[in-house]
Amino acid sequence: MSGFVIPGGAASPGRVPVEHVRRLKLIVRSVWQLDEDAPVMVQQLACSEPDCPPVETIVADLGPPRRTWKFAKPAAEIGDEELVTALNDHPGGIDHDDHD
Amino acid sequence: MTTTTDQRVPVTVITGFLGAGKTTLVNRILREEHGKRIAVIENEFGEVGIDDALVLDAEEEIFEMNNGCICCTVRGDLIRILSALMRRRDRFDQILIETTGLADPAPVAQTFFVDDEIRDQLRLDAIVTVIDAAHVLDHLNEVKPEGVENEAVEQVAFADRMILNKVDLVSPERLADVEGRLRAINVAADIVRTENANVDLDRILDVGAFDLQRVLAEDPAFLEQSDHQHDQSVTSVSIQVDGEVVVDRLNAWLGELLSTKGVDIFRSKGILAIAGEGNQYVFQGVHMLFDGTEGRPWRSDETRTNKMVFIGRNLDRRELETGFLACLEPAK
Repeated sequence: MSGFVIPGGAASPGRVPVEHVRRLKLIVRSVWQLDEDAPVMVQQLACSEPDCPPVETIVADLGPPRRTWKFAKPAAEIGDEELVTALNDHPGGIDHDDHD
Repeated sequence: MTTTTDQRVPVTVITGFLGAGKTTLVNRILREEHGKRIAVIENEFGEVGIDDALVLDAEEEIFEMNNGCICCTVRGDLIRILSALMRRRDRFDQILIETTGLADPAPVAQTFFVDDEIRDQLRLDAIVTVIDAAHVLDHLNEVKPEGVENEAVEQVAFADRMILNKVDLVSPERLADVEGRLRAINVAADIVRTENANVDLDRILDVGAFDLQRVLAEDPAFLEQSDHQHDQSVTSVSIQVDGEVVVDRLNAWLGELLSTKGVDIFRSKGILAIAGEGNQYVFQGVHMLFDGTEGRPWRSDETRTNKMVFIGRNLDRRELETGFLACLEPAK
């Protein structure tokens, strides 16, 4: 029954797919040759603050140093190739504002 | 969040204002014979000198995932340290995190919501706030500049257990005033009176307080309300109503509520009767992040009663009640 309450509720793009999130983490660890349990975070956010997009996904290598890659879309819509490209093109991190 | 089959490592967060007695409490926990091996994460090394104690130093690193919105803020240092700690899982049974006196509890609590690997291995057991009975009213009443949070209020609001320390230094009348004020902010947390942080550790360690299951089941104070209807200050609103919750309506209401008002809603917790389900549904949230899990089965002779509590600022009791009532199936 776990997960009855959908994060983000009606405004949410849906449940965050756990397996996909884990796959994205694996890609980050693989591209940067990190340990298999290195702290990597993939977090989908649905926030109504004025400066926040309605949905975005933060991919973070917590380092140190910490680097983040932001995607203005749900986690489920981030493809493997898209993530690899973002990591390689922006090794220091990327904000969705300059990611197109 | 916790069940008898839950094998995850319990994490206790000790917070509290400067001088309240946090370090005294942590030292007591480490020195007392309780048979538990405890890993301690501190913001700075204290005077803990316990043989074999696993003590790690954390440098508070606030990770604002999203433009500084408190709802999207976690503690990057904790994620790193917790990940490293889990490689030494065989060396401890429990984790204790001592925050600084000025730490905001929200990023600490949210750290346990945002990452699936952390959620899989660790469970936030309780946020324990140590409070100086002699000085807390001064701290709570301190007027901060606009946009600056009162840390003492936040620490009380986030608490699952309040250790009201140094009670020997205040009169009974003053103590009653203090407890009344604490209750007005946070109706859901147990208050434990102590001198010299001398508390029965069974009240604070591995208590499953964060999921509220036991608190809501046992605490008669749950429905005590403050008189405020729409209060700018931090208060609690608790709702108790019989009935069956329709999941889709709950998701729509709660999702909208927390995504639009999550900044002001510090904590939300509840035990719900989901229509057609034989087990309780235990729900908890920190700002806009929330999660839920299956609780114990409803007994056949038990009224299916929903209990929710919201702790935060600008809470509108009528709006919350109306919203929740609309999630229920019509009475037959």
